[in-house]
Amino acid sequence: MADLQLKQVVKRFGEVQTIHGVDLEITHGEFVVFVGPSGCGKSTLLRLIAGLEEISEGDIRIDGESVAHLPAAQRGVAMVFQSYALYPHMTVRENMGFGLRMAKFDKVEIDRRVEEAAAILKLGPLLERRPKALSGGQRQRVAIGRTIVRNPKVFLFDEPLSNLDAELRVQMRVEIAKLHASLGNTMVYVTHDQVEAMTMADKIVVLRDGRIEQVGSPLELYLNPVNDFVAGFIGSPRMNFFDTRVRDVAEGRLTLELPGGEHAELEADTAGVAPGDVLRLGIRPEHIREDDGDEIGLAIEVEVVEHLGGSTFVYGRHAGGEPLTLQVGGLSDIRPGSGRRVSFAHGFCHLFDATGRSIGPRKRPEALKAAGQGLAAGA
Amino acid sequence: MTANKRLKTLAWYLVLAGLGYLFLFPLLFMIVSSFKPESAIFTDLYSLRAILPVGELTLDNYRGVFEKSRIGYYFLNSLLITGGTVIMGLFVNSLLAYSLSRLEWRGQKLILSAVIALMIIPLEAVVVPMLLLVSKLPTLGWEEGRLVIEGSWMNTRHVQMLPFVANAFFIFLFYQFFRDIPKDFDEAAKLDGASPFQIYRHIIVPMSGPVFATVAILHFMVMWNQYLWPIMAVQSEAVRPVMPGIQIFFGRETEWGEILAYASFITLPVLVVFMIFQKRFVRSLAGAGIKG
Repeated sequence: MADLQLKQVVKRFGEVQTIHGVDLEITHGEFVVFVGPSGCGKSTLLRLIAGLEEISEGDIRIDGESVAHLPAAQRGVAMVFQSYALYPHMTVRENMGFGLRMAKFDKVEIDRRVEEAAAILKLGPLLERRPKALSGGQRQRVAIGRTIVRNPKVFLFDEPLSNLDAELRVQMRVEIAKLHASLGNTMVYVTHDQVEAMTMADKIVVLRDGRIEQVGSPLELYLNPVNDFVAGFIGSPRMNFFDTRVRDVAEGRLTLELPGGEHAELEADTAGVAPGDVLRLGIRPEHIREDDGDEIGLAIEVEVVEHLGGSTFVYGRHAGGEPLTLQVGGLSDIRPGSGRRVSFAHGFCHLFDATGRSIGPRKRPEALKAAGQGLAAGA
Repeated sequence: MTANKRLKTLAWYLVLAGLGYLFLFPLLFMIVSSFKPESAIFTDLYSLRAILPVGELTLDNYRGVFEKSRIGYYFLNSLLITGGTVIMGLFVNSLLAYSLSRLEWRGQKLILSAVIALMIIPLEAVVVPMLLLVSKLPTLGWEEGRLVIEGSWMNTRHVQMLPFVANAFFIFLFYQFFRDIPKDFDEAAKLDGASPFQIYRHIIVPMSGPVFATVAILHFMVMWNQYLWPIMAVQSEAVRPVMPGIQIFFGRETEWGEILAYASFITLPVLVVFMIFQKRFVRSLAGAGIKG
């Protein structure tokens, strides 16, 4: 068992506070991804868990016991660094065994554990090489191997794939996911890449300016972001946002005026919303149809079209002047410079109040699946 | 290659050869002349023969050196003093630099500033107070099977070593090098359970070969060439190093042949050490240049 709890964790560097009272519960075996833009405090939070930085306030518990003031090596955590930090003067075997050597394990046990980890990671033939003689992917695996031999309660990964090329990154992503499945340990993974977060995580923690914005499963964050920040951060290409004016408020329903003067009726949490208010409407690029077949229509001026083969990205502007991106499945005959009407369903819309808080409508995966099938059929 | 280009190259080579000659002249003159009789040294002085091993060559000068002085003994003293100081210096200076560059402690910046400030103070400026200090420091000795405490450090080997172990410039060289090693290594080792000293010993030192080689060479040269301090602090022949030993040849009749033989003999170790470490030394300086 390795549950990890953060309780009101605060970190200050001198006068500057970078982590503002973070609370988080991670249960045994979860793969948790910290994600957020650079400077959001995700790496700092990881370093606090690792013990490379001291927390200023609060507590960190592993299996119910406070580790906040224990030295890094005694916390039962192991970390894979962004730079891998493999000792260049040691062979792969020595690199992997260094921690055990420091812990005064006998040589036979060190060799046994190193070889076991090497077998898991297919590093067997490379054990006597120096890091310099390894490829990027191999170095990455050695860095992971170094953590495995210590048999930690919690694995920490600090942007481990950011130094790899795109193809290798996808490959390592799968390998790390497999490793998690086979070891079953708790893993905390930091990345700024929301695709990594979406594909690997059991639970995503979205951070901004040292605060947690939302914690949830990848799908929960995608479907029901609590605010416009999370909505914009999760999903690629980014969610489209534009201003709408409230025309009419009924119990649980809003009538909105879209850019270009058209009206749309949406379910929402109407508490505190009055006619005349300006709300942000969010719609994901993949939920917009390239024709007028859906419930809410919008006229756009097409600026750029990117053909990726499997899908097509269309960048344009609507009547309000704000940019709008569409992702169309397969090939599209839309041409830059042309004007056209696009459309989307009520069920795909997100509404945010003036503070950025989501006011609905809440989405269930089944409902979206049904709508998605409709979209695919229509496209 | 066009004729013009060839001419240019030739001109360059001439210039470079000239410069090379200029720098090599004293060394060649010293070594060549040490094998010539006194008279030949002066007759050859104003011709190219001065740096060529021509004419009557003899080992008489070397024989004279070994007969008249205890050069072997001085040599051994110098080896002990230099070797001991360099080894202690590598440890002490790198350890302080490690602590300044990679650990966090109160007063760190102050000490770093003090180290930098110390670099500009020459030995000559502090040599008199230093002498007063060492003359009052007690030494443990062993005489006739009994432990004795003597009242001064004067006339010992350690008075020639200990004041020169710590060196601000070498600390700074180590500091510069260590500062450029990514902190991730320390942190990885910290997570592996290594103490700060174990990180120094197992991670930082093995990664810093070039700077250790550079400092070893520079420190060796500084110590081997010590002249002023041994003259002041050491009168006894028993602990005298090679450099002040040359004095005995400057008498009423100065024997230039023997002086040059002595000088050649004591320059040899410096050249040998430099040649052994040359590659690493050059690499380290080049590396330092790139890193700025």
